[in-house]
Amino acid sequence: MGVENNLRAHLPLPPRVGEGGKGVEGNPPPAAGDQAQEGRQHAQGGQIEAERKPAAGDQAQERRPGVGGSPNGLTMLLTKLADWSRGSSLWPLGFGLACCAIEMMATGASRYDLGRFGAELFRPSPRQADLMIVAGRVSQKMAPVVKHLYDQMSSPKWVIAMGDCASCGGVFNNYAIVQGVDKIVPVDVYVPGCPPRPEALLDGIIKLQKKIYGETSLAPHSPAPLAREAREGGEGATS
Amino acid sequence: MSEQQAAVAEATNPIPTPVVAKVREQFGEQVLEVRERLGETTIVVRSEAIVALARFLRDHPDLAFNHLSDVTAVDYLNLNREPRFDVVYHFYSIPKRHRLRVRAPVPEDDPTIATLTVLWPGASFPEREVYDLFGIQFAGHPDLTRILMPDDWVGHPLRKDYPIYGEEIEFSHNRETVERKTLGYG
Amino acid sequence: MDRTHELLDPIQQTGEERMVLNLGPQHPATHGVLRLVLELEGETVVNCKPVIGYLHTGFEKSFEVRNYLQNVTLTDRMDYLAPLSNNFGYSLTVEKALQIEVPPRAAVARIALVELTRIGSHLTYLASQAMDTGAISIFLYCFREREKLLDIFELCSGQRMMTSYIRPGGLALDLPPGFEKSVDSFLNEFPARLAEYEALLTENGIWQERTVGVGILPAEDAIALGVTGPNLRASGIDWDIRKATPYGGYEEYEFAVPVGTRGDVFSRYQQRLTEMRESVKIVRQALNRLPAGPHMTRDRKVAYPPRSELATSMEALIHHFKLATEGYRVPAGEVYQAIESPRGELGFYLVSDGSSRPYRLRVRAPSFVNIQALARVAAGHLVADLIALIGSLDPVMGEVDR
Repeated sequence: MGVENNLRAHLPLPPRVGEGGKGVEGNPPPAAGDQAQEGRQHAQGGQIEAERKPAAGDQAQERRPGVGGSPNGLTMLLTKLADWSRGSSLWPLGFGLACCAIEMMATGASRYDLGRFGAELFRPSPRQADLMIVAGRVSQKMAPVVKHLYDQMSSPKWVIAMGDCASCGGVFNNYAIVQGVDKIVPVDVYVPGCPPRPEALLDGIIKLQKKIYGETSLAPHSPAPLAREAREGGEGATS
Repeated sequence: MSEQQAAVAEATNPIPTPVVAKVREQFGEQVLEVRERLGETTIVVRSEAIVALARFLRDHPDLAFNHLSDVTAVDYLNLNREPRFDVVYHFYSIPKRHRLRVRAPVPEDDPTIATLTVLWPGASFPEREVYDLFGIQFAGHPDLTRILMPDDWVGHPLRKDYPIYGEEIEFSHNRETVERKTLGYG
Repeated sequence: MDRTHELLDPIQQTGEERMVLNLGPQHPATHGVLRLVLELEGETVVNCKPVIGYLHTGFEKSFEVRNYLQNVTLTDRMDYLAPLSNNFGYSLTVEKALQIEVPPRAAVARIALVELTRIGSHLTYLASQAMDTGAISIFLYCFREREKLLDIFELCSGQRMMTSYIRPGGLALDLPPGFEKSVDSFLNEFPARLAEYEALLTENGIWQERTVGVGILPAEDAIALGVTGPNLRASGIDWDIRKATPYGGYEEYEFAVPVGTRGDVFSRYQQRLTEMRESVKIVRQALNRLPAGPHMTRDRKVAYPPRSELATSMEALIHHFKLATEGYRVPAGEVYQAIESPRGELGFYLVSDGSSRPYRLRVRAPSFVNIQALARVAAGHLVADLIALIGSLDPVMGEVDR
């Protein structure tokens, strides 16, 4: 697990399968309970980041009503409601890097109309956004900026790595390009393609929404075969 | 490049273009070589003469090379050539519609050449790029700093002795040995 | 006369009331990852320093480890608003070094495709320029039109943007059956649509307020700064590489090179609109003369053997294998080929050592040089005008940083 541990030392990654009991790929979908807890932590001077650290994984799980904690009809309903509203009104950060940004614009424009899925409100400021679509290659010079932008977004927040470059470096395996944005921020959904078609990005957003609703194949019980194999085999495939 | 080589080059191109003739007439000794290939003219000059030559090319009414289209460099390390670098300029004349390439060899131990920003302020970015990626100094440049790479970057990526620094790609057969790089920002 | 400092750093004196504002690299109006360090006096820009490199991708290094055919795919991703122009410039360079000719069908199709790309690129310019200045509906309209162009490219190559369709020696595939029809229908409806956009903007009082007289770039300064393309022509210099030193068969087409007069944001806007109209004319001519025939050169040194031979001829199979793995060798020497991309002089400077990979491939990217003009034109304007200015120079950061 070399790389994963290494990454975990630097980055707030979600709990691993087997450790937190219910880890997921990428970010855990924060529930309403999380949010409330965060608020409390904040009031006590705690760091929001702290709860994303792996050590806090178990606690985070316990705090989630209806999932790890005692089942309670009302809070469960509220959690679902909160998840539903978050997923249905994603505010992406208006942030394009390279070629994929043009396809991202096309996704938002007339033919594909991202607004049908409630995610058309591109915000210029990271403070107002909860979804970061990393659209394009991340250069060594840009990487600290991307990380900084991610840190400025308020929780709960999600990341889509759009395109091959953001997912794994794409064709640019060289000194200048970070080989996958997951080396600097945790990624929820990877959208392959160079660049991905707008339909692919829409699919990625729908997958993310389902993940936020907590109801699909992205849920922890059925990770992708490759990822599961890697995890069970003790290999640190981080993505 | 010796005079002999220059003579050979001239012999292969018996009719020098008017541009070359004018440059030869003015710069004589400073012109190391003239090449004519695929309809493109290349003049190789001593690096000391570059500003004077550029000014001559720009201001001479018959030449009127008023557009400096590009400044770049080539590293000849792998071809074992001395001097190691060539700074390459592409001039174009918008009124006369002709193009000229000028090369100025620059040695490895003192990779310095005078800046052309005094004649074309637009040379600023291309020269900074050459400085950034090749480590060639442009004497007199108003702001010679890295332009594409981060300021604290070490090395000059386009030099031939600078590896491409790709990451090894992970397959099932090398999963045990592949070296994984991580980045920690913030 | 040394005007270096005047042009690069227009206002020298430093006052006490200055504020330094950082704009970008994440900013909706910077078209990607351009960063500007602004020195402000109140709302007025005193000094503007572009900081680039946030999208540096190492293209020129990557070219050196790939063979000539593989490099086509990289060129797409530099100026990602005009991928086919990049393919075209690169292919012309390699063809010049190899001294091969492309078949007539490919030559004509290339012109048509590249001009369609120009329209697509200028449409994106219009969309973002209008959106930056507040006219969002234009953005939606322009992207509607652009989608039709992308459909044509997809029809040809299977990819919307990164087509890699133009290759050294010709085209990757033959033009598909529906090509002429779909281009024809685009050409039929596009001029009317363009007139619509013009009706929305040109006479619009708000648009004129935002653009007329803003960001004037005098012709002599434009030349001194190395500005090329529509930005230069809008300042009144009649230089279009398609006309001045024709390449790829442009000398056979009739089209005008529009030239602006004022060199302000409005001029640059009109310049691009007129260029789109001229491109429509060129594509129409190309479509009318599109000959039948092969789409790739018959020169076996460059082109793969036909698929049919692979099953019957061992030599063809070996040759195919060699071409696919090692690639073709390009004679030693240097060539420079410039084309008129939608942004200006796009030059490829190739130094070959005789192997199957470029020894050095330099890209003279128009945006990279053009962006220097920002410092010159921004001084004295309000920050809000600066936003319109960035859009009017139409930089593509992928090309600036390479």
